[in-house]
Amino acid sequence: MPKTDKTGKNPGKAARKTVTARIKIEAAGSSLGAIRKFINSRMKRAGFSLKKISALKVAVTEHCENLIRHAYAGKGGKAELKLEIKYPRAKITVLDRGPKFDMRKKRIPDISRRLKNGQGGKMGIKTILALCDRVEYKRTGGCNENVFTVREKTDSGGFKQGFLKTRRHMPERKK
Amino acid sequence: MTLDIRENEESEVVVVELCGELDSSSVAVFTLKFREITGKRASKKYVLDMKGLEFISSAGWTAFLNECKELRAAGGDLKIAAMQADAKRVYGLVGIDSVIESHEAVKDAVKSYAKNG
Repeated sequence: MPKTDKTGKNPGKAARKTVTARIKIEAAGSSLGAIRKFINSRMKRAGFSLKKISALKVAVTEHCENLIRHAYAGKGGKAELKLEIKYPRAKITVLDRGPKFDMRKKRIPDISRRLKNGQGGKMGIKTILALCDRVEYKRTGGCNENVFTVREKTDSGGFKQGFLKTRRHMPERKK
Repeated sequence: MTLDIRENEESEVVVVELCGELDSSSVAVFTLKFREITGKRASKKYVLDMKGLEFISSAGWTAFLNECKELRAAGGDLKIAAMQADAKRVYGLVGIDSVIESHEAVKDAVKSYAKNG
């Protein structure tokens, strides 16, 4: 019987090995669609649920929009995206040469008043931190490395599939 | 994918259909086209049909908030309908649900104007 995750999907053979892919992009609005396509096609092929694919697409788009607007201040620049998939985990690293900025240390403001006044903004980081299962940051050699990870919930809560099922059928250990 | 915008009027309520993706690269197109529509229509009651909107980032949500504010200032309103699951998640997450009303179906959003007057 094929192994399936909680969503009833069969990740397939391709999903069980580590898949890595990279793209280099211009930090410009015109690259955003290509970034989402890049994430979508590879995660879909690996058997991820639409919820997790969407979470990573939204998070990376928000991050790249911040890069374009703030880090490169609309002057353009380059960024590189490295996607590493090992089902049930997908990890994307975004490298840029903007000023040092760790979003995890940024205080998330209460934007309810702004929203009520019909003002947007300040939503990106909040969205990223809420949608990703893990966000990491490091600065190496003048380069920002932001790592966004999502993890599919499996029957065994992230352990190799079948692990708990096997244990459940094992006789209790004598005390 | 680009953003496609179509309009039609249902009993004094203008339904604006959005198809494609709305992020910082297409937000100017949305604002321009939406203001073109609001400029030529007498009605200030609007529903954004998001059924065909496959992606929206915070830049898109910000544009919705701006347009909603403008319409309310003119005595109208902006409601959204038929959001896809991922858009709905962010809508609740950042608190836009406390400002812009949403409905499962376009016809429900249109009807809600009749109820509220």
